[in-house]
Amino acid sequence: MSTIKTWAKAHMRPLFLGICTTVMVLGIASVAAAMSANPVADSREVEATKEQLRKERATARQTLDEKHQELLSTIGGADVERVERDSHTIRGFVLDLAATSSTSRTVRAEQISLDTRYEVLDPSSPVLTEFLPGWMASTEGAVLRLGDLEIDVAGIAGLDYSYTVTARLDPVDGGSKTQYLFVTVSTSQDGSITKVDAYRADNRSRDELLAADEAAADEEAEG
Amino acid sequence: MVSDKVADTPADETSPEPPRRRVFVTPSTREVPAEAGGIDTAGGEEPEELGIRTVVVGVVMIVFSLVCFVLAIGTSGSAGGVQLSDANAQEIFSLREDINAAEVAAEELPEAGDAERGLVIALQSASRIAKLQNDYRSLAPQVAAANGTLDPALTARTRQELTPYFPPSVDASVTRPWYLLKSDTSVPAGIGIPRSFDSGFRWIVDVPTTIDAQGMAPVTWRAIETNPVKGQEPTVLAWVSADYDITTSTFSDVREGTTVQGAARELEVNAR
Repeated sequence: MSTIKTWAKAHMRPLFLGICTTVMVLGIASVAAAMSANPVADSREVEATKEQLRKERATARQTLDEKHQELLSTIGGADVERVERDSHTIRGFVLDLAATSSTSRTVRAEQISLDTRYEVLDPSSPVLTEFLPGWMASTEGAVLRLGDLEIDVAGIAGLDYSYTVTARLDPVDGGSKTQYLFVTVSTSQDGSITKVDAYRADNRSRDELLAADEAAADEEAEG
Repeated sequence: MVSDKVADTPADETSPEPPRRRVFVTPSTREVPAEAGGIDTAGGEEPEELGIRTVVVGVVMIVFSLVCFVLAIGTSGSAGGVQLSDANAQEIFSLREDINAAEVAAEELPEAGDAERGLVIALQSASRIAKLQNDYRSLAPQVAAANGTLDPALTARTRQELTPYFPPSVDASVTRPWYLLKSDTSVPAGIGIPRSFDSGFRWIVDVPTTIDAQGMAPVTWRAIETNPVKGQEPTVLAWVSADYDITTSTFSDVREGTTVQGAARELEVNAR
């Protein structure tokens, strides 16, 4: 120990300056490191945070969904699986109906096509005789996509389920307007449609519904 | 006298020989301790000491490096994660909001018993609302007689009964007639009781069957014609949808729609 002390004392100056130089070099190095902080590394951090939050959100939503499904199965109103199956069928039907807006075929051809595809429809069905011509005329070839679809159980009679459906169809391009459909559907236990009626919201009603939708969307964006 | 010698030959501690340039001579047996830095008060040059110049240089270097460290900490702190772009900050905020909303909804989901009771009450309330709206149908002749205006005095009582079912957030027009039928204007007034009025349409309500993930029960009323074309389902003239909140026993998010057929047959009411 005393050897070191004596040596140190003898080499005071170079030792002192050596230490100071080292400290200074460390200082410069740390500034250099901080300055060159990799922006890519930082955005990776941000992405990681967002990814983590997305996972948390998915988990929270799944928990909610599970609790909700559990509640539905206990209150024993409608059979959840049946409603889900029927909802798929209904959705397909609504999309088929809506798609006729941009068809290149005639009304008659579309009537035949739908009549063939859906057993519940026949040439005298109001969906084909009243709804379809009016729909194709008022949409004037517009391409529409499903913006919102709400399917609610309207009643259960034995093994038959009835639904009321409201659908919002938005134009794909800016040229045409949003349309609202109101559809009533009944299904039998095997999932086939036993009754169906479709209506288009009249233009003034459509404007009011659209305004209400947009107001609600604004509120959510602000809130 | 300040020694400016930095590279002196090291003194051999065991050597009895004094280092060069010593002013006085020490006995060979005595060891001479070197000065521990600072100014050489003895006036001699001590190669082991730190001169003032050295100290100053050293201090400057230390201060410089302290500044560097502070800068480094400062820069790395701000270049780290705090500097978020607006888009990122907004996305993170809304993600957190979504998580919170889902957790709160899961928390507030009603128990099965409350849910079932809620659905029963929802149907009762919705049926009552349908009855009250049906009472409005008999006003059609009076509206026609008044050239399309509806005297508020005629709707006062029914409005009063309807109001409690809707929270303040719902527009007051929900308590006024949702739909009136043109052909009803020529129906005889009958004995004056609303329910005996032979209207061409009536409001019916769907049975609320489910509760959604937010604890609300969707309800829909339909205005259907009372005398449909033979063999066909009654035409839907108008519809109203709402969400029933079982905790507040009110209907919110009320949306009214009129079908093309309904619009063609609707009796316009001017005064609102």
